[in-house]
Amino acid sequence: MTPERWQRIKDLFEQAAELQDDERAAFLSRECGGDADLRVEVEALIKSDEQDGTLLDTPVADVLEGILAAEAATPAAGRRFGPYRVEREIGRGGMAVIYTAVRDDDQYRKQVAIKLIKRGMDTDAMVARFRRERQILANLEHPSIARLLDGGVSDDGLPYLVMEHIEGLPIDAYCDRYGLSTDERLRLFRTVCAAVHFAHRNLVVHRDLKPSNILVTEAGEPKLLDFGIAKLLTPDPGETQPATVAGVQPMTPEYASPEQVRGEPITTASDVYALGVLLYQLLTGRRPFRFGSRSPREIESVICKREPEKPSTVIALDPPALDLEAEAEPPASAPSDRAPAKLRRKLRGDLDNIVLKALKKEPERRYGSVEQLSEDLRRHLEGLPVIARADTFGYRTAKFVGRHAWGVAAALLIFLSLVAGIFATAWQARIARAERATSEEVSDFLVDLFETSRPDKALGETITARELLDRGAERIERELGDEPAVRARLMDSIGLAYSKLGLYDRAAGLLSEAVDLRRRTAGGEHPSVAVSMNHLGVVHTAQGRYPEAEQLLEDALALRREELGQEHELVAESLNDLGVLKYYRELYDQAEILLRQALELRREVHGAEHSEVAYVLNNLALVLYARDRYEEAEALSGEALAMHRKLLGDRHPDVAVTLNNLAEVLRAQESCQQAIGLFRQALELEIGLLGEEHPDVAITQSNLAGCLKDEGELDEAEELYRRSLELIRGTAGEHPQLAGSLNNLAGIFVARGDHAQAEAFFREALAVNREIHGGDHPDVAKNLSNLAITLERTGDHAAAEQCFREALEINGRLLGDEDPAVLANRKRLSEFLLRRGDLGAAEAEFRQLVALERQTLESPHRDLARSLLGLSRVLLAAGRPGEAEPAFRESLEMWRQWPDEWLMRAGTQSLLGGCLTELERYAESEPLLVESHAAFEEKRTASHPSTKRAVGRLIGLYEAWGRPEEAARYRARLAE
Amino acid sequence: MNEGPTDVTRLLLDWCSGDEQALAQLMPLVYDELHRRAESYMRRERKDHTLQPTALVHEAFLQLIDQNRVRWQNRTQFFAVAAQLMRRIVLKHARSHRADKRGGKSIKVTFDEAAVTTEKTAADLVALDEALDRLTSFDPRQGRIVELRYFGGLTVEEVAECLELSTATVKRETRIARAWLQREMTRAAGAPA
Repeated sequence: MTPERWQRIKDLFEQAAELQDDERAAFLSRECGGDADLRVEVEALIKSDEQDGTLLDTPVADVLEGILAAEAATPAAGRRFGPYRVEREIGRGGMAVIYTAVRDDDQYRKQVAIKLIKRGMDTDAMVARFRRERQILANLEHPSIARLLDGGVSDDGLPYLVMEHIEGLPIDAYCDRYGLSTDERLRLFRTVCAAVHFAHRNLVVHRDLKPSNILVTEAGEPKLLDFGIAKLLTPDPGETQPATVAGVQPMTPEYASPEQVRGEPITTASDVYALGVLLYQLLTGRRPFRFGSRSPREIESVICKREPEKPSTVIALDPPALDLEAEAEPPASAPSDRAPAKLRRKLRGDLDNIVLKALKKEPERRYGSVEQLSEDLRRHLEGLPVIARADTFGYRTAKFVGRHAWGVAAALLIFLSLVAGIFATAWQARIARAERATSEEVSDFLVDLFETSRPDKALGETITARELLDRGAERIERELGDEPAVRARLMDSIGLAYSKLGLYDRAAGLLSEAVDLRRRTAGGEHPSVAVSMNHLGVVHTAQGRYPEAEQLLEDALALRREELGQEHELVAESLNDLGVLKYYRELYDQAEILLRQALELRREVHGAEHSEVAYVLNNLALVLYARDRYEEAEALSGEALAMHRKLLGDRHPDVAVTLNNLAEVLRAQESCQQAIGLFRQALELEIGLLGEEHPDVAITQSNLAGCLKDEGELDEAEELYRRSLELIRGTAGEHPQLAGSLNNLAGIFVARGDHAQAEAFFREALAVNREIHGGDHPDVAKNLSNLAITLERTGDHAAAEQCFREALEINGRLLGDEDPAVLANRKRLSEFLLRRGDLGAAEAEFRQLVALERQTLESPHRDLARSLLGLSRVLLAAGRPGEAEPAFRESLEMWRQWPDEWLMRAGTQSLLGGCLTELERYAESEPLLVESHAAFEEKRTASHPSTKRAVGRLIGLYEAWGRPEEAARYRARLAE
Repeated sequence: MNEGPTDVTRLLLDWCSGDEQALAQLMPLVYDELHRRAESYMRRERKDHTLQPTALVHEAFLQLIDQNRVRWQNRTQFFAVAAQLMRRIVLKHARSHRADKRGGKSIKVTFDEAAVTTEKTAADLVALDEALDRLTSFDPRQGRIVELRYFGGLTVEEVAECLELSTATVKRETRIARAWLQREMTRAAGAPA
């Protein structure tokens, strides 16, 4: 319901409620006109209004009484959670109560810890967090991380977790008790780092690392507890919190990083910071900061502004007992084997630098990972030089990126599903050109880098480029600490270059650092900030991190409009990039609007014929293609092609890209022969201009292969796919495109019915995708779906189910349950479960699907109709025709509205008829079955399976009805 | 931790001045207080009283908040929190009650009219809660009014003051919200389960 419609209903209700029955009818028919739904709604409200003695008229107190009586009678000891019986309460935090408990049926009576969420904290967001924690921990198996054993919901509806019960001392107390030396402390600390790093690799940030969460056992092994506030690295856009508790993030101030107290996004860098605090404490016996009061303002100001003192210098401040503030803190631990003077010497230099690097205010200036921190400590322990050092050399400018623009520009941003062909956007080409422009200003630094480290020519160019970028990135970090503006520019450029190699994580790291640096040095509103924000947004788009991308691109657009006015090429650029993002999010309406705005603006700025105009035309064609508006897409692609040819000549890489896209549109319109011709042209052009080894060649080969596959030319298609695959393997390595190629090749085997071979390629593609993206990315999910479909065909149903579920879970987490892609995942799973006959699970999934679709889709909707049909089929199969009927009917109502859906309509009718037969409502069943049978006979042959099924249902009806002659008549037809 | 009046008052003031973290800390404290009071009603010393959420909320407010330091606006914010908590308390119970009836082994029992009534009420409450969420999605103000009126037990005048509306508006909005919710609940009960 929209607020506007609701307002209209309210107005009518108020007026109508005052009228007598007969006046009311006249009033409503006048006011509602043809809007029958509106009238029904208002009349229903009036009827409800006249009812009294409803729940809403009884004081809620009655129910409350019962609750309190029940709750008051539950003391902790002896309380049960599933098979566990509580022994005693051992802890109580802001959000949870911790008990020890034993499992009754366990002969060893092993103790466990149960963490029960507190009443009052069980907001939806919090419960969601608990669920997630459970999910995460279940997958997090590491000797230094406390195991999650079980979890559930208590009788009174509170979620709880059952965890390994650890006996041990907090790490600081342990170090003191056993008098560990500095080196021993460092080694112990590194074991903790290994566990945290393991969690990070699994996309889990701890968020609340502190001594009381790190217990050391008698055996000297550290165990990390309480991933209670751990959250997946990727944000969860589906999580909506009540407005009143938005932004609440649990934390412990002493160990909280600046970004944490400010409520900004928390990343692995926040754990690096907390580990820095811990290390500080283990080495010096003090924490880096103390707070005068516990007010949020004081805490924020200290953490965000005050620089910590070097560890070596605070040793001199002993003894802490003289410090008045010290009372507020528990006594912290200091290495007990050394006199202060000796300890100061030990800490001065490397250890000072390492600790302070971990404690940097800006996340990006800390260690890039916990592993790096740990590695630096190892170097220190072994007497090697450490990274944490501030040394500055000079730098010189280079034209490296400019010279290598095409060599580096793998232009491989689009992942291909099994069915879709490759559709190269001009978007990458535009990046490449922006890159060339930027590179002209890039400093000597890169030339120096390039000249001094030019490797043997035997190495492929792309590998060289990547190596160079790695070195460049490392040297920026080392050498340009005090030149923020140059640093920012280089980071921006190198970040872009990385993105073209498909190394999005590295690209994103550098670009976000560039954004921050520019914000600080150029001021938040400077156009250069928008440049980096825009670049980062584009990279996040490629990473599938859509919500972040959207935010950045929108901010960049707003900033540019503010600073540059409405009519500026850069505003058009942002519009274009935002449009491309919406395309990836499959929000095609919005994408089209944005791209049309970009197009109009570019025509104003550059005139009707300009490369920028051609690029945006190309992207717009892409959107229209996705909307199945092929004719329009073809016209725009053709226009872009003509424009490129005119401006750039016939032989230019951009011409080839556009040819490729036009061919793809033709392919979609099933003009395959024409498409094949254009693909071959594009391919010839690219090989001539760029050489056989260029990644663009691989794209076109792959598209051509897709087309040939559609034409049944499986052998040539396979050959081309294999060549393209080899090329990509050789040049790009682990790249989204490699996964795409493997997927495509798998598709050949699917087409040949060789599912075992297809499975092998799908699995390889999946491994590549996981390598590139980690576990969480829409591409991984897409891949899992493909694999699942194949597994179902090979008969490995258990594995298929697992893949369907995992795909759903990943996309759900990334995009939220209501995203169209996630709904599609759920649909696939539900339908699979139905096919497999797992009716219980299928019912649950279909119900959720229907509920979500009701929320998100405008009813009637084909997807909803289909889901309702699925649900009713499940219910019918489960022998619950009474429950199936309303869902069948609702589905049928929808199908009736679309004339082209005769097949679905007839099928649903036939099923509903069968359902009614089971309910012994034969007279209602008969017309439905007769009508659907007639539809099938008219559109299909008499021997078509659907027609036969329809006849079968008619036979079933007449037999059950006790009309054997009619049954026999239809049976005779079946025999024909 | 000291959880006396000063703490709660400070948290409330912090929250009212925009510190969202304070609310997270405030909620469990308020909940505990409400719960404690409710329990005392259940025991003999208050046997003669009927339990009224509104009384609970008012008393909790007086107990928890240093009256010299807060203004009326803070007080209404407090009621908003309390009404939310009341809703949650009631709903948790309703859900678990309903879950009891569904899950587990089926045990043959003699017909018990009271139990059936409670069960139905519990189901209705869950339906009400869901309907209220939907209502809030397209008419947040009505959602708040119902929450304050029904779950917080506030009078029309108190709601009006709390939301800075006229009493006529509150009455009008309550009436239509009630009708809509009632219709939704009937619909939920009749829909295929």
